[in-house]
Amino acid sequence: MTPTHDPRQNHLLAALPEECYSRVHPELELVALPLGWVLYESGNPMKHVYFPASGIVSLLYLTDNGSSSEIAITGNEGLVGISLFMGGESTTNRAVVQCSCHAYRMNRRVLKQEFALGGGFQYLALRYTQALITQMAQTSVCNRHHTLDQQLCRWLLLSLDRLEGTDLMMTQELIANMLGVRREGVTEAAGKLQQAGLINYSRGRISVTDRPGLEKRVCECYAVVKGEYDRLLSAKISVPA
Amino acid sequence: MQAPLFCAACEAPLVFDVPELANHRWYAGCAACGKRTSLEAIPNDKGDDRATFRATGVLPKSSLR
Repeated sequence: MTPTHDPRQNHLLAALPEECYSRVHPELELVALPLGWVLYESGNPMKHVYFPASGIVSLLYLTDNGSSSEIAITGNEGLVGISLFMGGESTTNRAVVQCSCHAYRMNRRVLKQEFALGGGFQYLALRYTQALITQMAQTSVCNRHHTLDQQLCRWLLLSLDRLEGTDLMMTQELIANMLGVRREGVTEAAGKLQQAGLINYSRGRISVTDRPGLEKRVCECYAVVKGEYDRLLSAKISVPA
Repeated sequence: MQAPLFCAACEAPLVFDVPELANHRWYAGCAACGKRTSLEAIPNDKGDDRATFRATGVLPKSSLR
């Protein structure tokens, strides 16, 4: 059976009032986003905003010496390319696909027109931006104050919240790049979680076997981020037309 | 730009707008024989607008479960 595609697999698009959705729907283009695909590079003007239907897109900062660190992740709860409606047109980070997926994209002209109307799209885009800022802030706190295995727990839980199932395809090197640490550190942290029976890690596939256990072990950063996403983007909020 | 791709089983041209994804694997179904061809993404260069793929073989049914 061929899988079906629907823009409303993205929660922001799904939350748009009908009038607004029917306006943007013809402007959405379905695209494939394979692992490692770069949606935009640091400093380059963006052409599209992306609404993932599944999967994960990672926002990374690359240092001059080639190290990288993840600033935030986006899945089907949000969009990639806030600089287009915030007015900056480009950003200092890079957006790269961390887990293959499909997404819907909208070109910058249509996006700006819709945002300028000041209706449901603008309302949701701004709330999403606030949630994303929270995630970025909390990531920096976590990286400074919490242990590597707590950071790994946070990263696993935030990733799982955006995926179907309990498996992630990720090499330790990629995780190290995301967390901005040495690969050996990830090996040790993943080993601790595996020993505790929380995950199973084999050949680039991480299976979370005890999610409640991960939630017990993670620092407060996960709950802070999740709480803000739930508060700002809950299905119960009333979106203006 | 996406180069023409052919079914790994019957060599009929594969017609798709975007490939499908199951269990982290990309594939395209063949309208002629119904088999699925496994696809691999070609890493992007600066300026690429959409992802492009190459065919790598017949996708075993078991890999979709």
